[in-house]
Amino acid sequence: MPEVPAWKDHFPISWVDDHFVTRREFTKSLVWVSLATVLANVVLAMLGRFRRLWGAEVLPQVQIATMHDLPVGEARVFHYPAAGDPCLLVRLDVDRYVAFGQKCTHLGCPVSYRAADRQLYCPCHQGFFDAADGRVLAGPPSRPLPRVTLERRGEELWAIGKA
Amino acid sequence: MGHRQSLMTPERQLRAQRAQQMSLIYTVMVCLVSLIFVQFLLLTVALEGYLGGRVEVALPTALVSGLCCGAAYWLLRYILVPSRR
Repeated sequence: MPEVPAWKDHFPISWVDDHFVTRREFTKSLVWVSLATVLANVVLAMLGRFRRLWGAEVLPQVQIATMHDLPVGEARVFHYPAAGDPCLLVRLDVDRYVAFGQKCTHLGCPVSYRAADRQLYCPCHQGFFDAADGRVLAGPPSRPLPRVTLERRGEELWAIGKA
Repeated sequence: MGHRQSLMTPERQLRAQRAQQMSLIYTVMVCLVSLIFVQFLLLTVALEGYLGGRVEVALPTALVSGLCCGAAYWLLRYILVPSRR
């Protein structure tokens, strides 16, 4: 029979037994995981609410075109609110202008206007948006294009906000 | 039935009781893992909604996740009670 080393008498801890987790303990820890998941969900809900309450930033008001700059059925790129934010102004009818962010909500490719079917089209993954309200018609995007709020001031068109 | 019980030795009784408790623990464990899986799915939906600007999704998912957690705690009762005996 092998002799038990002396250090085992001085340090009588069995790591295997010490690290052993019973099924009961493991099940209890699952409930803690469940609680942590709820907390993460609640934090997200609160962050979302606070962002809605306090996150409404005031955007600049920028003149983007005059009423007769753009022919009916045409579109033009402008930048709003900053220089790195391309948007698309579309003249749907004589008196009807709409504007949307140009980045596709799928992976950020620039969309272009198709006058024949009044749609905004993303060539990267075949995403289609309705040019009237920016909602998704087909393709992988799941969210509508962000809409730029326009205001007519006499003969000028101003961008005053972005939804 | 009484005659049958008398045939059970204390050791067999203990073994049967232990087997019963083990199956209870495994059942509770499987239920908990399923609930946590649902909760992770809900958290993913909430996170995607938050990042995508659809914050209204977060509150219902938090409520359902809370219900799942309540159910998990309720299930835990089943394995805590026998351990106190």
